[in-house]
Amino acid sequence: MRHTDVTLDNCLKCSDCNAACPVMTAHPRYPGPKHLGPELEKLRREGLPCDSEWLEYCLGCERCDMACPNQVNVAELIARAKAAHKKPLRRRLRDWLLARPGLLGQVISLAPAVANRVLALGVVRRLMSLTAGIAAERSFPAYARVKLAGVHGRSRGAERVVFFQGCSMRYNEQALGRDCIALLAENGIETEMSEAGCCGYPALANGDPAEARRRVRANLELLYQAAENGTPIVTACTSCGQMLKTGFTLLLGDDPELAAKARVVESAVRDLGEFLIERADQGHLSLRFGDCGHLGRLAYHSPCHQATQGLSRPWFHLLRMVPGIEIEDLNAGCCGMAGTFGFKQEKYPVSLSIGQRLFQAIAQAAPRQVVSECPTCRMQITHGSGVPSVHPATLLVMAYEQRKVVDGGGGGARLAS
Amino acid sequence: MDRTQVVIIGGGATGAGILWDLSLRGIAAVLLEKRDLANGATGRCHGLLHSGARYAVKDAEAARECLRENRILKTIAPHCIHDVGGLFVRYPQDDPAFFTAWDRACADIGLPTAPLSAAEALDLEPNLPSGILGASTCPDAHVDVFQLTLSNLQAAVARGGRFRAYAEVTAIERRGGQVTGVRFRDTLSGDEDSIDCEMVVNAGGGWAQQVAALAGLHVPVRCDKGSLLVLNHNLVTRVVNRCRKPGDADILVPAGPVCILGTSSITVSGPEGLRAETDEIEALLKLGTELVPCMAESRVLRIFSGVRPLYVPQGADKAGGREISRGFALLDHGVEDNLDGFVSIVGGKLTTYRLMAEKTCDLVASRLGVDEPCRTAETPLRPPTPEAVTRKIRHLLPAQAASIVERRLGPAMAQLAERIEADPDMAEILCECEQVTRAEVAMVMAVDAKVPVRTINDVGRRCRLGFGSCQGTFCGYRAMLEGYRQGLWPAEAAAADFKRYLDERWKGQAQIPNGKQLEQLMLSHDLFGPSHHFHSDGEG
Repeated sequence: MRHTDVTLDNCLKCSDCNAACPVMTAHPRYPGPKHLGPELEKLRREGLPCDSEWLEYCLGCERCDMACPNQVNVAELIARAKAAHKKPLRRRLRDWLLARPGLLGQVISLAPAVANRVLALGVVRRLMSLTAGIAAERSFPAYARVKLAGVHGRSRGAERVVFFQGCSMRYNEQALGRDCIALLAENGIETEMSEAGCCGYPALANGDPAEARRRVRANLELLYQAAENGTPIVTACTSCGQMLKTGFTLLLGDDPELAAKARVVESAVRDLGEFLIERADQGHLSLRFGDCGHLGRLAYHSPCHQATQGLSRPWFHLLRMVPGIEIEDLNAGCCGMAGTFGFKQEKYPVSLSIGQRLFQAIAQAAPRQVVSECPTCRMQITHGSGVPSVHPATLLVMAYEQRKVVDGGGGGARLAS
Repeated sequence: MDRTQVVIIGGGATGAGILWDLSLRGIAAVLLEKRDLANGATGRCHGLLHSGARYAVKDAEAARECLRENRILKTIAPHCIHDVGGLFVRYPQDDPAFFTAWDRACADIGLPTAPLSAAEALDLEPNLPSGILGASTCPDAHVDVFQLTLSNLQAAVARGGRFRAYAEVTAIERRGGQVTGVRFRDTLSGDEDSIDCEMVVNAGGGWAQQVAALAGLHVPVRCDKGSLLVLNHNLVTRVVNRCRKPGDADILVPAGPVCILGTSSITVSGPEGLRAETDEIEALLKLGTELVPCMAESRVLRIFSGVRPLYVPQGADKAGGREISRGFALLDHGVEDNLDGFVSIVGGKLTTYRLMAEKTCDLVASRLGVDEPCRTAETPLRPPTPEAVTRKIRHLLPAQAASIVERRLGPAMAQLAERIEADPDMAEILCECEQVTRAEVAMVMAVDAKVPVRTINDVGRRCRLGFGSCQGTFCGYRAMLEGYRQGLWPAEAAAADFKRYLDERWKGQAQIPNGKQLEQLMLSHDLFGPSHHFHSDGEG
């Protein structure tokens, strides 16, 4: 029996998925995951026309999957329906591009200085909104030419991880990449920057499973050897992490040979926070943190794709190990950005309206910075609340450096727990 | 005192077909049904519109009859039929001699079939077992039995025919050797009433014997119980028949969003109080798994049992003259039993309901001296739908809901559109599995509906509400509230009917051997059990 058949039979129509869906609370007419997933799939098998424009409004946050008490893969069913969904030409072209952040990055980073200036021009943004359906209110992240590659933090007898950067780090946030390298080096781990490109998640989210399949197929080959050798594959982006932990099987699982490889790679993948907290639990994390009281109040937002990985806010707990840090867990649901979703002009109001709960929680907490590991969550947070946002790795590196300032150099030694 | 020419007893497909046929001939008639439409054998069968292929080997005449009716019904009632086609699949464990006999028999009666290799058949139906030897196509189809019965009634009512549900006939009045009328009781209100008439037609199906007994006559009907399993989704997209001598559980019919496996065959004492036995269910599932292996892991939604009312005359010589067809018999009690104006139509099968009605009405018309021929074979049950109405509904409803309601309502979608345009909230989907809108439920509940409803279950038989995987847990409740809003029932009656409704739905799920539907049932218990004080004394 096909997996989706089992999944269909499991649905009890209980609506737990609807209750967990961030779009449902923001958009009263949105029919919800129960309808768009299992319900439409059943009707589709009856031979009925089942396309719905609402499919485009699914964020892909997978909270429905988590909520289901009966193991229905609601999100997967919606993703399949999304892939068959017919869009008008303009949205099709735009989504084709948004499905390929790697390609976008490669092109723009040929002349990043020019591109950044042009993309920041109000007139260009209005033009993009008119022609390409990109929300004029959004600003694009800055692109850079430099890329991180090769092995960093080499030391004798060091453990190694293969680091999966993801498009955001590769093209926009190299500084964060260097922070991650420093964080690992501080713990005596050398970092091999993988050549692997886009994880394929944006393609899946934009209803382009063929492109997603191409991406994961290429990545599987690039990551398999390391995983087979027992080297952890680490990423600092939760959406990449979610994709790397499940996407290979989802998209290549029909082929038994690839399915076997997929399982090897998927089980080697760790979120960086997950990786570090595991070490902390084993007493292998350097705790040489300096006092960070100067950072002021911080607030933590956990991305949807962190929860779907079954992680319980590892970064929040890591940051709480730093002396002087005052951090609050916002626990206010989805930010509404959902990767490329919030960039789409017609989805922009829904995106912001989903984020309201979070923005209000931020306003109440009044932090100096919001901490979150997802790059697009951070974009949305700063856009919606006006508060700057930062990846937790950056703060943790600062904490190590703070100690070095106090100690006047040295460091790297492990502290027994 | 009410008067009419003909009273028909029994609101199955045959009774409804007779009401339509008489109405077309201009004969005034009233149909009395003790519960609601399609409550007996009609509503408790596979919903298979036979092509005749099933009977070709054993009984060429019955097969020809099915093939003719199959073609007629596809023309006059396309909105009731999913013309999915059928397969006769050759399994390695079955007798190869039957395969050749079947090919020959189908060719003999001109039944169009086409052979498929095993690979071709698996390509069409990937859930068939990989070891099959091959298959043949045939023009089998699925017929929505409720829709078919309802369409006959609606067409008849539009022509002046009358239908009364929950009217149980308590006596057949006679003066000397002539029927003069019937007395009946409203089974919901208890009110008694009567109708004078010139003729009574007994179309009681499984109850034909009891109906005849009201006139002091004996009509030998044997009740043969068949149990069927409803599976939660379409495991096959065509009717799958096992190519062998007809036996248990060898037909799987895709019926809209679900599929139905059947049947068993066990002689029982009467048409009431039917229950599928544990062994029977296990045997059905085991055979079903031979038919389509993944059935072993599939979710069973519901189990139901019906009876085939078989006509079993005593003494073959007597039978010879009375059998109009191999499958059914028309008894003119004026000739048989010296009771003029009383006619029984017994036996038969769903596929031949129209033919049974035609033969019955030919007799009734001749007794009444009406010289009008039968026109049901050429007259569509429903006028065509104006293109503008279809376009409007496609604009107002999501694609799948529009597509479903186009089949179900046809030209009546104009009223649906009016309701939604007047109040956009009416587009809300009340029954998710069957995509039934609030507007359609309101239409079904309207006091001026051609075939009115009195219970939530009746609503289901008009528009399939509650037929899907939740089995009315969510939509039954919403329908109850909508009925209250429409003034169909006051609060207390609404709650009482909902309790009856749930109880019946729960009964249908209680015997299910497979885990998932039990979880669904428990969810329903948890939601409504406490508020309705069900099982409050520790029974469940």
